[in-house]
Amino acid sequence: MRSFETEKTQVEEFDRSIYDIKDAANASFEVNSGLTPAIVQKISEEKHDPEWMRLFRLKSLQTYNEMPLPSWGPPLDGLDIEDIVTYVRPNTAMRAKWSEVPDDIKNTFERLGIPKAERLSLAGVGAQYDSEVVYHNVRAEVAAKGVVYTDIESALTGPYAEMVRKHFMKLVPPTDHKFAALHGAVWSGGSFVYVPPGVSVEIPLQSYFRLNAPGAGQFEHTLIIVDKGAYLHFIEGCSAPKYNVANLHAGCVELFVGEGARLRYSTIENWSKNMYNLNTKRARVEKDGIMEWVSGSFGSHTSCLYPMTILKGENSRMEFTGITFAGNGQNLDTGAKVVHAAPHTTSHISTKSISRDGGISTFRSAVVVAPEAVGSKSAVACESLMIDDRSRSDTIPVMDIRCDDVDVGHEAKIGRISEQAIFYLMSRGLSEDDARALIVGGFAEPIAKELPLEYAVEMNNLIHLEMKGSIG
Amino acid sequence: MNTAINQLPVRTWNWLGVNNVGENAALFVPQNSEPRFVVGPLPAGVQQVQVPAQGVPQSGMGREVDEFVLQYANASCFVAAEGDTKTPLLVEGFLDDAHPQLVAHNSIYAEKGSSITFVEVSRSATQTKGLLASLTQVYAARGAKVRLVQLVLTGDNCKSWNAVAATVEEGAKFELVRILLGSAVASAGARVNLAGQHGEFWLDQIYFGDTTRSIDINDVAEHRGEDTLSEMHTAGVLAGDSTKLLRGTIDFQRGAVHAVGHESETVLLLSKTARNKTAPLILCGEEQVEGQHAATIGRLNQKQMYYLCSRGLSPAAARRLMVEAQFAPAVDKIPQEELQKEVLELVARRLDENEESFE
Amino acid sequence: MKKPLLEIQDLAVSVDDKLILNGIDLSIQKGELHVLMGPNGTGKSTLVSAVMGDPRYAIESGSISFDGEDITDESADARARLGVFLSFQAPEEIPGITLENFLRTAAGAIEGKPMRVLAFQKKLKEQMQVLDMDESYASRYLNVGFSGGEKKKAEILQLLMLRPKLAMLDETDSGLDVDAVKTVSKGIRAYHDEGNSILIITHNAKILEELEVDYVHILENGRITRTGGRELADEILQSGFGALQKEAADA
Repeated sequence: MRSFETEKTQVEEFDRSIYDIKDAANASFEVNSGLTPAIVQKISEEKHDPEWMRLFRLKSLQTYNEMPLPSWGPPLDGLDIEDIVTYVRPNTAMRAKWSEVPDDIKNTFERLGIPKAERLSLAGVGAQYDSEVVYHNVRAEVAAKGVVYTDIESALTGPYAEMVRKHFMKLVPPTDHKFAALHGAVWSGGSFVYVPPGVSVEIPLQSYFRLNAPGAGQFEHTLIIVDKGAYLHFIEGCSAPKYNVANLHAGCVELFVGEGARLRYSTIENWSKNMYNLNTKRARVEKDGIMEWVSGSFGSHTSCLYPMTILKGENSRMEFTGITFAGNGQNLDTGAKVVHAAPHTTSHISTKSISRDGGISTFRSAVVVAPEAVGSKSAVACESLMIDDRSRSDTIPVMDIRCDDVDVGHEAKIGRISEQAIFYLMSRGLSEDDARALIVGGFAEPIAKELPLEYAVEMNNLIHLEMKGSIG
Repeated sequence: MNTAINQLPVRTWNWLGVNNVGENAALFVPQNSEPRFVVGPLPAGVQQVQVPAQGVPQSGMGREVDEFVLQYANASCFVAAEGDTKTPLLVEGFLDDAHPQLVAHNSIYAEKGSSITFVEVSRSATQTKGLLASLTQVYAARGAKVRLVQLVLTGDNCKSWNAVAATVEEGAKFELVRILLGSAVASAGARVNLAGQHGEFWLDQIYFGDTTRSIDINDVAEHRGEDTLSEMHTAGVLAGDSTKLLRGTIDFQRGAVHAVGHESETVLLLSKTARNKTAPLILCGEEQVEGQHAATIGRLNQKQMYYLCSRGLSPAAARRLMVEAQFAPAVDKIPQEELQKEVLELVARRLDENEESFE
Repeated sequence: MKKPLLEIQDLAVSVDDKLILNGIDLSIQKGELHVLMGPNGTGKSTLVSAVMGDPRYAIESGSISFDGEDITDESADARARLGVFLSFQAPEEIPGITLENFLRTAAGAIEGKPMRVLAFQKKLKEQMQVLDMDESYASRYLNVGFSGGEKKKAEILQLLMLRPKLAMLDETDSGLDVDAVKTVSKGIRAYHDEGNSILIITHNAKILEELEVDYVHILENGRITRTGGRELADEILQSGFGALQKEAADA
């Protein structure tokens, strides 16, 4: 029997290695990382940016150089900014070669039944993909209603230029954190959607259609404006793993929900297991508006993902439903943030997280209720499932309440799959593995039911594969 | 420098301001002053010893506070308990202008199968700008039961730091009852190492912030042994312009198979300008555990208020009854009736003082 | 004419900006037992809640007088101290306060001076026996974990301990089994004398069986449409409200 002294030492070491950011990691960022004003200038020229955008990029670069790395969260040692810079530079194709795509990615495509053409696209190999055709058809259909759905770069000029300029990186300013500043300097590709007042977009728009665009899936910027009383459901990503040669995803999503409007933003992220996913998503909701987030995080080596909602208008509401599945070698730090800045606002955050095979999953949240948010309600419920004793699941929620006429509740639970449940399913003929997978699928059900059917099916398949350890 | 006090076990966003205590809770410069510190009559089975208990972790407040007390202690009470000691040991500290600083180092070593109740009461003269720092180290050997009751009843010009560190061995139980009503700036933190199988940690605490009082707490239950249990429950009231930050962590370390941790906090907000921060953490590295925490923050339940009023209670009486109801689990664990009364009277007075600000 | 204990004149009450009661006139003398019946959702609970002073209900116009005093603007606790009591349909659960402790505090508030503990405990035990309530309920937290029936009994216990001048019982019999209804009825009889009055809201004949009913009122669409004696209650319970309405239409 080990003495508890030695055990204590082991545990302390383990803890520290996860949560301390060693100074050495900063070195690669502080030294001239190869990201010079000249490079940023060139990027801007290649893109034919309007003048204000060129200056914006340069200012962002300056901010990036001045800001330190965050002092909290998962370690970012594996990020090689030099390498990434080479892909940001113009004249590089940003394309991988099929032969270089890791086998486990290819296997997953196989298992998930992804068609060949899609595989090439998902792997960033850059073949022309049918999705282009699908994309154009969808565009035509919604354009008839006055909806603008275009790539963001072309929206910088043309009839919506002023609208884009007024909103671009106003919700997530470059000063927000180091990777927002990086994004501001080198952002490339992404979607711009504008839904006019009163228009309800019946079919979900999917960013999937834009996979082929240069820089897609790396530093893309999504800007969505839903005007008064309108409705839109936007889906980002897909369950198939996305492979990128450059291993940083520092995208940015800005969502503006107008008075009485409703926006649902669904994401399934399954970046390849070498990726650092440092996406920043933020929504601002006006009076009587509703913002719904549905989020499934499966991939990446390291993720920092905390969609934030600012309830700016009276009576506005936010619903967040999410699931995070951390497997071997993954450190997924996800959660949500909400700021109640007006009276009678409501927020619901409901998350599930699963850790298995040495994975680390962290739920991190912030609920802030400002003094003027009289009559507001907030409820947070997070549940974590531990599949084995090699993994970690941490819950770090914080509430900052500055108003008395509120109703704030929070509950968190952590536990394991019930032995009785497994036995019961096995007594009906399922193998132990299948029983576990079924139970975990049931655990994820609240998220699955918020997704369009084909996504829900894909997500369930993904969970099944993850449980069986078939994804490396 | 004060970044090391009451540190959140896992850092989070800096802008939330919960990673450690604020500027106002920085430790003081110790004078070499005489304290007013009285150790009550030792009950049968309790002896004073020379050396404090060994094998205890760092306190919930952190190394900086621990080292401060160890270095500058001007009062101490180290005891060892054997057998079932029937009556509580009372240790009282008093701050006044002639004795404005108390740095107390207390320790309880509970032998196998023993039980002891140790009550620490800190008071002060009304106007005194007193400073109170204490570190209480507890070692509960196999099967021992230790109940530590800390009543912080110091005046409105005082600052206090109450640190607790405990190790709970196999089958032992450590109960901490913390009544945090005093001081303008009150900081406290307990870290309990549930080392042995079937060990238990029970925390019942209350706080009442009003005027510009500032309260900062950091409690951590570390589950290492199998079948260990932690129950951490806090009830608080915030009135006036008070601010409070409660960090409560259930830490399931790998190997703590079948451990169970429950944490709850109820915060009654009785003013528009009080500010509440709550950070209930669960850290988990072990599969076979059960962890739960719940926090409820808001005003007095209006339907309950109306129900009580409909039976003839004035709103002030109904409010008092409901606050007492919230505080009952902790107050009931104070072993002496006079102390219970003192606490309830202080609470009633504080409610009266803040009457105009209530709706 | 004797001064009524409760006098409601032309009362209009709204909740959440919706007008529920529109011109209620009702007079209850000391010693009387009135029954209030009517289709669901027509305002019976609203009426008794308004008399008790529930802050959610707004008095749009009219007045309420109790024992000669105008209480229209008085707070709930002031009304309780004057002798008004409401047995709630869904009593609140309040953890941390024992039933005994609460009752003693309330009794003290109404008397204007604290109750002597031993005398109070004796009285409590006696009344719990009348209601066939197990002694252990006294030390349980107020209504916490009580079944629906137990909650209703606990309300009647409060009635017996506080001895108000007017007892309004909001469907105290609903959800109770036959024996429980008998017990509650027993409690009501034990309380009722010439010095106090009762207003019962019910759908059920059973509870009225052993009680001496003075008046029955039908409340429909925010107004009292008919008042009669005991036979009116019997008629409703036999043929329902539809028959009444038809009668009115044919008249």
